[in-house]
Amino acid sequence: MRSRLVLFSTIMALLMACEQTDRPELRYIGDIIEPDGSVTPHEIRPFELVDQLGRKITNEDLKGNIHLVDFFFTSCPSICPKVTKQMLRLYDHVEEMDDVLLISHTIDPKRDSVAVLKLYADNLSIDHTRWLFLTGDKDEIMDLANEDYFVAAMESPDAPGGFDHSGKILLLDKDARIRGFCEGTDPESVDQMMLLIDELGKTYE
Amino acid sequence: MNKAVTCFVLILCLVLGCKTEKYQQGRIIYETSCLNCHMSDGSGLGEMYPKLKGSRYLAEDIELLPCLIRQGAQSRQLETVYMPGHPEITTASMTNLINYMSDMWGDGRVVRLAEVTALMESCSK
Repeated sequence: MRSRLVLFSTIMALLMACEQTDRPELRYIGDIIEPDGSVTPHEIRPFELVDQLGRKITNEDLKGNIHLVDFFFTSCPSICPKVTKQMLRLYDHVEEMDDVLLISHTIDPKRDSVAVLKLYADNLSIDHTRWLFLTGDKDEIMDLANEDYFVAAMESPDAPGGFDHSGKILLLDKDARIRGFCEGTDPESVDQMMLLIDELGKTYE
Repeated sequence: MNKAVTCFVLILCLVLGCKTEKYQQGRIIYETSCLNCHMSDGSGLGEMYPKLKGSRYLAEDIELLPCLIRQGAQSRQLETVYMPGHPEITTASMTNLINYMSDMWGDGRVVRLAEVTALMESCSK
């Protein structure tokens, strides 16, 4: 009887362990753990950019909203349309949720003016108050991408369209701290992200 | 009895082996050169990256397709959005690609190598 119980518990433990690996977990990404064990939270630096309607958008404006962040450029002939397609899926997914914003930064502000971003957004038939397309100073956007959002982005004459960048989509909480990310080129990775968004949303209920 | 089972398995293998993909070569070119914008299901993105299902280029205007793919095109919606040209796609690959797309999203019309060769030769540079 006893050995049966042990076997049963072992199998249960294994099953639960399996389930756990399938479930994405919310974590704090980028925090620095000091030698004394104290934690310095990773924060997004203050920024000031402009959206597709010409509105000034700062880091403070995003706080109070869960936000999904990516980097792209409109003339991108490589992965961008694929990632934007997944951002559209996420846009549909969060439609019923309050306080969720999508934030797409152009890494090619020279060509992607406010007017171009407005046309791009119009063509996706999205709500301009829920999905912001940001442009501004190129160095500021590149620094945000590389140092704050951990999305590698750089100008590269050899890359298709002149820029090299990753297709990551990040999940930030209402305090603008990074809580998860996914590969925007991979629909399955985005499926996992949806679970994470739901979980994060529940923490504010 | 054993022989019968072996026979059955062998025949099954042969039948399954025959059921290979129709336009595998075309699919590979599609995945390399087209999928990023037109998507794996041909659905495109918004108005800027046209969806392939119901496209006139896979129906009455299919003769225009080889040159369009070779030379690329400018989006009518947005000046920064364009379809890059694909001069690297050979005539044979172009034939495979068009047949794949026609099978997936068009009316299934088959283009022949000779036809595509003539069309590509007539592309204005």
